[in-house]
Amino acid sequence: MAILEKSGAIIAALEDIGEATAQELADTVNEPVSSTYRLLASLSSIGWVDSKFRRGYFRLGVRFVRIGSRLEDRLSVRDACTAALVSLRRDTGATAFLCFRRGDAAVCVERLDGRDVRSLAMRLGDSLPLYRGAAPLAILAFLPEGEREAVLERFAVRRRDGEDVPGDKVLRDAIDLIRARGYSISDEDVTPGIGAVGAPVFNHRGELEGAISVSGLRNAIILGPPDVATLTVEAAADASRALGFGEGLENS
Amino acid sequence: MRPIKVLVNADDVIEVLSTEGPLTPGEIADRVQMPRPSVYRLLDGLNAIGLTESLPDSTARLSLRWLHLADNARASMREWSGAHSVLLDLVERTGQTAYLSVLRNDEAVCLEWEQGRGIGVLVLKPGRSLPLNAGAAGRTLLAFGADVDTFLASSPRTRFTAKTLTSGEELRADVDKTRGRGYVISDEDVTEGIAALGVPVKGRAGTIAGALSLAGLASEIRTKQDALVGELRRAAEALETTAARV
Repeated sequence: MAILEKSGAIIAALEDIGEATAQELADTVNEPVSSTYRLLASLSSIGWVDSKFRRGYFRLGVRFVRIGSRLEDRLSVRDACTAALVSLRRDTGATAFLCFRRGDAAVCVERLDGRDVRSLAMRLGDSLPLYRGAAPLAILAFLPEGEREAVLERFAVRRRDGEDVPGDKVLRDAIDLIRARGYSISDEDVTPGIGAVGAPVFNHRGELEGAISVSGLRNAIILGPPDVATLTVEAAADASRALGFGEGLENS
Repeated sequence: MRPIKVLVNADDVIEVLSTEGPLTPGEIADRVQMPRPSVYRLLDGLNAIGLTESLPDSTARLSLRWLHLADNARASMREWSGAHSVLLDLVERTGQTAYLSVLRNDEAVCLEWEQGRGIGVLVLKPGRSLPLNAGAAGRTLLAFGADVDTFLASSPRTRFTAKTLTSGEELRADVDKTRGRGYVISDEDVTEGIAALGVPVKGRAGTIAGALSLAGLASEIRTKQDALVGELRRAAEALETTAARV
């Protein structure tokens, strides 16, 4: 399989530098230029490298775009999060949720009920505004800055119209704290007696996909043991990894 | 020169894993018509270079690294570095879904898209492809970019709807009409109720670098055809200007 090994080295080099000459690639794989040419010709014919744009230069082929998009189509955020939600419920005994953003709210797309209490808030398909609840706040805090500012502006309008939106300063402080800690806490702000912790889930591009949260009796969640915040952050990180987050970052 | 056999086989394995998801070595051997020991050796090699991975249930699947390789492959096409803002502007001005596609082998492969305001037309999106006999992207690249005789002689022609062009005669006539008019009208030949318009994007020295197209509800595309073609031409020129600077 020496051929595959050398092809792998060429792909890794092109992934790293974007575009290279046959000579540069020959140096990378420690081969004479002539046999590297033969390898590159083969890789071109199966679409893995492309040399059409600039004479004498090679880069990754459109084949990678084709295959990568098929893989992306197959990956479902919900499926990628299932294992993390199952272990989060097992380790905490509390109810685990997955929420996606929809407009200025977070909608619950998965829910695994815990042992002790069954909260009636956030059933499948229910939503909460992004300023209330652990998963919604985690989503708000990790939105790209431009989108976050736009949401905050719309919240300001809703506040003026009489909706019970927390003050702008309160929200901004909460966002800063959530970003610094990596998780959000909801301390009885949705349901009396119930606390929750939320953490964001990202895809392979580092884009926010949603948030995982876990909710239960206030003291059990906020005071522990176990350390629910750490478990939630780890579950969200596992889910992100299953979507390719962090994968291959050493090359970029 | 024939491509190295191992690489052709490796690409076949990647292809079947990408279309079918995780498979056992036995299933792969059946699908790609290869002896099982060869499949094992190939998977070992592909695992070692991080393109596939073997799961505890003994199936093999593509590694998530393909997601990054796809993004890197797109990023390295510097001639299209301005494409995203051009497509965004095109959608802003027309409300339709906009695509940039390139010719690869006998397919139109979409590199970039921007979804329209009302509906996103999903048949094509980055990484997805259309055969050259269908759709604005496919037929634009057939008329302006591909060798028509080679395509007709060797490539399968997919039928999507009753209006899809599949015979050599129909396609040759379409190529002539398209060249005369300068753009493609794709009227429900991929999806019923959906139409599209496509124009070529020129590359260096008279070559065709890609196809720019707009798709939306057939009734809207038909009534706004002239204005939309004008927008497409303006956007294609903007792409040509950026590409020329690279």
